[in-house]
Amino acid sequence: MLLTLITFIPLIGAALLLCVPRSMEGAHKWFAFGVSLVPLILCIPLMIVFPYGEPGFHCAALVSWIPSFGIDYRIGIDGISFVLIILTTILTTISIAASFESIKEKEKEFYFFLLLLETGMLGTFIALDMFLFFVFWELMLVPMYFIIGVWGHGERIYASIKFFLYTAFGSALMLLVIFYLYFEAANQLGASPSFHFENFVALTLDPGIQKWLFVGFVLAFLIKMPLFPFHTWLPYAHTEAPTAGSVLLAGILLKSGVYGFLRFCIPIFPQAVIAFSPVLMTLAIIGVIYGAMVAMVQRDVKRLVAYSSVSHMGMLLAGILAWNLQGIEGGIIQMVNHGLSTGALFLIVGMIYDRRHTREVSEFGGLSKVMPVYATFFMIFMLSSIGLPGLNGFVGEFLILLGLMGHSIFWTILAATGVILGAAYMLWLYQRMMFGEVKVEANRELKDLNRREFHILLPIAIFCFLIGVFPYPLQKTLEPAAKQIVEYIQPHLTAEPWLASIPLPNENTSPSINNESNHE
Amino acid sequence: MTSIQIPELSFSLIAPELILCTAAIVILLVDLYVKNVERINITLLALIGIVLAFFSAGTLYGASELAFSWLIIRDDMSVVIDQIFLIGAALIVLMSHHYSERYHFPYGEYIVLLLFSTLGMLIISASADLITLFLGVELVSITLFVLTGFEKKSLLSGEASLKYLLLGAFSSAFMVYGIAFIFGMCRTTNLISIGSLLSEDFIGSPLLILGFALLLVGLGFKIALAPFHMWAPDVYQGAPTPITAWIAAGSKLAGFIALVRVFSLPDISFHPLARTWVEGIWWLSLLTMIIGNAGALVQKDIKRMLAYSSIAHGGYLSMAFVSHNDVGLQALLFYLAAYLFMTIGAFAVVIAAGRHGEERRRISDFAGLAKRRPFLAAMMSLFLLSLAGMPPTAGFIGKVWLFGSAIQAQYYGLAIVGILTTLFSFYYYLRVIVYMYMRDEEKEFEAEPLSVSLTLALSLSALGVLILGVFPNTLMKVITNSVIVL
Amino acid sequence: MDTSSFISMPAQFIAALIFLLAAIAFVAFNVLVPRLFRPIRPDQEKLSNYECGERPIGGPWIRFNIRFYIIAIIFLIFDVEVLFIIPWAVVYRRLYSELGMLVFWEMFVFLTVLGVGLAYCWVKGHLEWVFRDKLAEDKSKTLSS
Repeated sequence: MLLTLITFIPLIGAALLLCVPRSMEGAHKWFAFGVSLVPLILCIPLMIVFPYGEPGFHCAALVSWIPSFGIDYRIGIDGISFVLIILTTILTTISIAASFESIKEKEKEFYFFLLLLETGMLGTFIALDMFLFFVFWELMLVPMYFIIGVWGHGERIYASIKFFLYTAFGSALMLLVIFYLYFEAANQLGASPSFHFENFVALTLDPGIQKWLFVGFVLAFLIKMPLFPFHTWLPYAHTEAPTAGSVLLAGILLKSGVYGFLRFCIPIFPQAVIAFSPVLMTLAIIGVIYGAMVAMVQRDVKRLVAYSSVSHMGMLLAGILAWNLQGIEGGIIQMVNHGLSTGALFLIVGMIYDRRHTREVSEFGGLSKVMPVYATFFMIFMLSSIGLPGLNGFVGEFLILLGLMGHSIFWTILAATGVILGAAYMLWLYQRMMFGEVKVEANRELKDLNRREFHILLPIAIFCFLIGVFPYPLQKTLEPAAKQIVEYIQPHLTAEPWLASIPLPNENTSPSINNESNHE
Repeated sequence: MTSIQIPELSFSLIAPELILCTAAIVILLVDLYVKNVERINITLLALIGIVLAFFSAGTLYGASELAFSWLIIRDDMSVVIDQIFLIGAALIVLMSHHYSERYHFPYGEYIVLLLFSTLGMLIISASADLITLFLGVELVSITLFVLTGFEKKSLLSGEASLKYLLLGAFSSAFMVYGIAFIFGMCRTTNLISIGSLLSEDFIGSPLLILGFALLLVGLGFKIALAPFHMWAPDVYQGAPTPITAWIAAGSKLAGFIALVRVFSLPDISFHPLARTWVEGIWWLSLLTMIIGNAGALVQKDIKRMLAYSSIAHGGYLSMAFVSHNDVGLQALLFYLAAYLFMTIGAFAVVIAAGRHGEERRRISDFAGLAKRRPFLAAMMSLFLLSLAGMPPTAGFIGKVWLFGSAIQAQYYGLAIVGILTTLFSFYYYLRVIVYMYMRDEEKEFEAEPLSVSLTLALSLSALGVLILGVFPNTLMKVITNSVIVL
Repeated sequence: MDTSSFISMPAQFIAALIFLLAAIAFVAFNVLVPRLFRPIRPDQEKLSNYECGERPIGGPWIRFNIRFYIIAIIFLIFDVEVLFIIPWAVVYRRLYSELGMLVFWEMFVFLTVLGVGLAYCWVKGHLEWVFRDKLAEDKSKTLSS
């Protein structure tokens, strides 16, 4: 019930928002802000109720939705979705607050779509019925399309259509596979067919067919993530979207790709995942290095941050593909970290764009003298994105590299190169924008952050420090879910002959590191 | 002298048809003899007739009988379909009320013809005999030929009417020819007798298959399956917009129901020949999806665009015949209902966006609609997204269900082509949305204010799209039951 | 119905096919053969349209008044109506003994529906040769006012 409330209150709020007359200027944003606070506040009882450290799905609910086809409103959360729900509610509220001054046209529609998007995102994370999941998954698409296309900058129309078609392509194939599985489940398990994803997990699929199904299924998530060759929509969408859109796109939508991969792909197609993991790993590492290198040569700040996303998401997937507890846990923690730090970086870029209406790096320089508070926040998030110890990024990256180490030295070295490159482009960006002389006259008059902007960034910064210094609660929350994934995958790891050539995680080391993490 | 067998006359089973027919005749007489009758009164009379027919159809649930010496079959499916038709007719009447004010049609005759075309649709849905079926098809076609040409002063309308008439007559000839062959081979036109005859041990003789093929071609013309679709864009463009909506929604629905009656119901009609004809429809469906969607990509006129989109939808819908299972049939019925709402809604927006003499039918005319008429733009987006198949709209559930049926029947290739062409369709549906929301209008345009009747039609269609999308179970249950009964 | 005769049915059509071929051959023969023998001397008179031996007035491509067609359709409808009534009248007495007044009412309804059609034609002025679109005139008056 709590989950349902959290998910659907934004939707109800969006419907009510439509009833607020257009003449009441300024009322819409406050109304939307108020609505978005409700799920955020409801997260507090959720945090109290949630049984940390216990495996399985909690806060579950089941209502029959379309009984003729065994489609249910079946929801529940485990550690991963729990964390992502909290992240979603926080980032939505923040991005609404961040749009107060930058969105001046068609405010009513803008906040309507933002709230609709929130329902879509939250629904994606709570759905356990594949059909329900798909509905929410597609529901994310439409509002984001409008947000980019209507309120974006520059090539917004091209960007929005590209975003829509790419993601729709992926999900269309996913739908076909879901239906195949549904009928297969009806054949194999008999009785009344249903879209419950655990039914799909219970299927035994012929490896040959499984590979094809996997390809169809995983593409949706890889495009959304995005993995290297499917990433081309992302720079456009991120760059042209308004600040709120970029924040949610980077913070939540990309995560939903990883989430889908973890939640559905791995349990349903374990053999195929293993069979394809060398390919995926290669692509992920290419993404890490390619993203970082392209980011380095960008002149547009926002585009730079967008490409850094490609790099980080590759890293994150590489961690998961290490198939050990550290890697997977690191990957999930990195999901949260990336959501916070990249989201915050987009906010930072948005704030300077609001003032100067340009995003060219060369237009700036010496801002630290004019805007000290701004520069401080920028530094915190930049360092968090690089992975400085003491900040959140470090925890995730460290665990990922640790996990990769247990998998293969080769990949670890390459991934580490990505981290170094990441530090390079970020520090260089910071140096070019913040230090040195103020060259452009317009920059001299810039005002530092106002109270609203300060309070938007402050909570994110606090979270960055909290996770960096004290990651234990987060890790504890995620552990059962991560263990569950390892359990799904472990039995298949040794069974596949091709793996013989790649060093397996040592049977002795895995449990011992497990113990360590428990003691932490 | 042998005594003549008198068939049992159960008029109660055709009560909806009788009521609708009476309503049409009453309106005709009122229009003839009452001087200066207000348009609103004619609209109200028509609506009363439709509503009465709707409820009388509702009382027939669970009847499951044959009547009039097996000319008429009254099963749950026909009742559901009748009700869908009647809802559609009511929406069209509401739209026409607004539209006729713009062009001063002879409104009474217009409504009478509209009601008669609805009557033809009801007859199709209840026909158990090829003759009744043909009667229904002709009643629909002929009234629509006339209605298409109703904008006497518009050349496009006349051209559309003529094209529709010629190709319609052509397709009817195909149908009759097919029926003749079938009658020649089976010595009966009754679908049930034919079905039981074929299910015994009859392996399709070439002439019978020819008869079937001709019938399929004839009906293919009516529902604009490629390669029999050429008339559709011109007719859709030229006809008065409410009639375009009715051709796109009602007449297409009727054609599909005729196909269901002839080809698809288990143990009835040609079902035993399934293997032969599934092959044919597989190709038609494939071709229609590709041609419809490819054609729509390049259109500049919104009515032509919707025409091609309607052709494409014909392709998706005929997938149900290929998969040829219960799921497919249920999906077909559901999608037809969903399709009715979204198509009628989209055309209602097209009407509302224009005014007398300036119809605003180019897609670029929709630029900036969101700013000027936010309600209309929102409605149009809803209908277009539903046509594209995005949740949480009726179009999504319908499409998912249809593709699901193809997968169940293991026609993966067709399902994949369906999905890919759907992706193409996103592009042209989104293009309209791009114009409405993301571009500014070129010049100021003062449209007519929304009338009550048009607002009603729009809101009802939107409601239909949303309710079927979020709570599809309401209709699904009825449909599932009605198909299982057979 | 026995299926054997049903399958062999195409064989029974052979007779029809022979008839068809014979008919085509007959026509072809009668058209082609005289061609070979007759003298061909065309002149103005011979090439003009045949109009019952009279000299044609005006070209054959004039537009016919549309009202010819309307009259023809009205005629056709009432002609077919008679076609229904005659068999009904023949069996009326026998059916009456079984069904009672229902027999009467059925034809009554049928004729009423046709009567509505007749009334429609009448009011619209289609029964008068000099056409006055009374209703349209009325309507245009009310609309313009």
